[in-house]
Amino acid sequence: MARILVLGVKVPFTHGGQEVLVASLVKKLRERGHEVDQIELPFNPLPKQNLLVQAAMWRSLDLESFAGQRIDLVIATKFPSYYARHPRKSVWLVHQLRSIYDLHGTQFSDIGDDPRDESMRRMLTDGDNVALGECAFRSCISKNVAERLKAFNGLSSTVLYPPLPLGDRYFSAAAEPYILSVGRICRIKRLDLMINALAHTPSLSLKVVGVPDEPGAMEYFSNVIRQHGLESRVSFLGRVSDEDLLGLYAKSLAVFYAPFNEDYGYVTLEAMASSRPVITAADSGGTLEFVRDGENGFVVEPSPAAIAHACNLLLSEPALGQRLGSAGRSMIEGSGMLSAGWDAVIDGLLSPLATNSSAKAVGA
Amino acid sequence: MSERRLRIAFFSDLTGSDSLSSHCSRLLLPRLNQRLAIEAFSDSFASQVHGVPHHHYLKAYQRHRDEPFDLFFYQLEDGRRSRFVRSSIGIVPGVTWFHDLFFLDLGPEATHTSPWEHSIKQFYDSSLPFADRSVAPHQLWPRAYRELSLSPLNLFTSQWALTESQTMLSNRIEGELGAHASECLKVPIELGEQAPLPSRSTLRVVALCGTGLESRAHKLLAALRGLSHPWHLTWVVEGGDLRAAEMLLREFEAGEGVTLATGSSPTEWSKLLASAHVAVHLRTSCFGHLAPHLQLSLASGRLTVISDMAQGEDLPEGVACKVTPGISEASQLRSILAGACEIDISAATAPARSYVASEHSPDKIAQQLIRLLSEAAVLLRAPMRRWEELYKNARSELLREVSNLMGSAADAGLAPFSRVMSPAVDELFSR
Repeated sequence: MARILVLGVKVPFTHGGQEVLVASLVKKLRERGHEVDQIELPFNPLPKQNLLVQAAMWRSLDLESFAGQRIDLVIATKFPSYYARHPRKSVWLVHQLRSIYDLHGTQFSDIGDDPRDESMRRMLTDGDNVALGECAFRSCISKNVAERLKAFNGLSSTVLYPPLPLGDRYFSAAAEPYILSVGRICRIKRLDLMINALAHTPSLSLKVVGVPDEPGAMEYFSNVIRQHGLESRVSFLGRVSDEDLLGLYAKSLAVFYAPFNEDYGYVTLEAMASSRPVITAADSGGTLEFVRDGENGFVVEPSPAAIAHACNLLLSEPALGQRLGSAGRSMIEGSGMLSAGWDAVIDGLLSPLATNSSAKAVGA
Repeated sequence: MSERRLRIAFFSDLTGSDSLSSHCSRLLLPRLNQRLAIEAFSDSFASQVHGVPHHHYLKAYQRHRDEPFDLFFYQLEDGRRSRFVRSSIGIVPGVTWFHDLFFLDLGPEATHTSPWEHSIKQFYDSSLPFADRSVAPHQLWPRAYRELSLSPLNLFTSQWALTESQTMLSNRIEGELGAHASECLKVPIELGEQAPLPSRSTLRVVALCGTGLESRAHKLLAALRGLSHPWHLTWVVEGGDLRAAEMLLREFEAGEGVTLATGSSPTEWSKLLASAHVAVHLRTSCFGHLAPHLQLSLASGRLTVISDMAQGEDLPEGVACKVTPGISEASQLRSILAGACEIDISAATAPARSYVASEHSPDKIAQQLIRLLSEAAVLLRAPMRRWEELYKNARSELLREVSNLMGSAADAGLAPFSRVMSPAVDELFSR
């Protein structure tokens, strides 16, 4: 049995896919008899210069042994946890600092063309090359994340899809006329597309699970709601229990999940596991690895009109929603994502333990 | 001994089927590549485009470090697909070919909050401190002030744009180029075989325009309504607002003789031209460009109608039928259309085809661009070195800011923590 540290990053008072992933991984490793602990450092991206400090903070950690006890393996997950130093380091990459990569030059990045910003972007790219390059085993949570890593840093990796956090507890029930949105409330998740679409679908309501994690986001969405007079048709439910979430998925007409270039998106798979069709956008990245237009959901242009059209189709043809939902559920059952997929994930992440050679610790 | 070929980083939208940048790149890249060592950069992960190596645009700076480029070249037009070009211009200035001077697309965040004016001042005076980070400039001009100012050599698709630009600029990176820092570079067009004209029992008109006042579609519909000869109009609705187009058709009771279309790629336009007698390009807006569709119309041997203002002013007399916008516009148009039912269209359009052959030849444009880039590579060497210097200073300044942040930790009684982190900063970022 090995002594393992799983490295996570915590933005205080928020909860997202990464936290679920780290907690699930720790649980599954323990179930297999390993001694596991979780290390989390708070992450604060402001001011921007702090990004370098945060990376250096992780780099300063020597995780090789604690109180005379040797750590056999560390598993890093997300920027900047993979900057930690250890001779046997695996990474299961949730994502890098996207504002210097795929989001650079878009409205979702605050890294501009100030020469200092550009210097920082280049320094962090170099830092990523070092910190990720030295990993003894490199994997990503989706093909989308792996392709970015290959394209921007020239590093290849294995794709290990995270199995669903609630295993085989997902179920379906008779659909009610509401669309469900699950996830952090921020601009990049593009909830405004769905709210605007609601203006074209008079008999539908929208239920939103999640909490805001971006200054001004809630105010912005509230304004959009007020603009269309949709106050009575949109409900923000905040964080809900697992049981409530399962029920909300089960009874929804469809699940809306159309972020810009998403890394992976548990929501897509949870919706499919609950036999619900997913409405996503053509530029939503990771969701497109699973959603097939007209087969198990809708892949539409990122516009309110196109989303409203998909919703209206589901309202007018209940059998269509059932067919798409069933196809999604079959796909999930066949993929091993309900629970069996953990073996492949853990075998991969623990593979450095099977070799005597350890990766060279840069700068050690 | 073979001469070393200039290394050019070529930034352009390369994927949009209806973008002018994509059209020009398709015709020019294979030709430029014969004389220059080109690497293309766009917002895609393809490894090769039009016969030249291609990378994602963010890889350009790593490629520049590994194997320095002599020059960065940008092709810029309005629209979301050129956003990466707009942000990249502010990172490494170079030669920019402007297809547009006014942008409907506001661009990426980086252009809204860019301290470019301050960066230009620093470019000239390295003793100036960096811009205050707490004060984000906010610029939402539709004019391309920022892009024009950051490009030491500006090229323009039209003479009109060149003249316009000269009234807009006051502070820019010039280096040693001085007055020669702007030139007109026309759009390349392949002159193909002239398709036979369809029967004139019905006059077939194709038009490419939107529904706003500056598109002049209302004048065209008014002209067609009074035409005694049978006619048919294929209207490619720019912007795709078919509902507004249908409303306009109802207003002019013109629905029956009109087919609405939305695909406006150069290939689709060429297909439409093949079954038409007259091509109409009346748009007068300063937003957007008429190229390459206007030039394709001229090359097709179809009677081409254009407004005698803005971008239309560039065309010499006798090449296209020019209409003066205003009160008599519809009657001018009607008499041109009536004439098109009678005249020898092939003979009337021969000057237009000669004009395209001589002014828009891809070989000629490629030669001109090779000359411009070769000259610019020499003249921009010193300014580019100064720009690199600005980056070195920025890096030092950033490391100073990081030290200050760690210094604050020391002030808060966390001095040992800062000392532990310093080696990590040195290892990762100080090289």
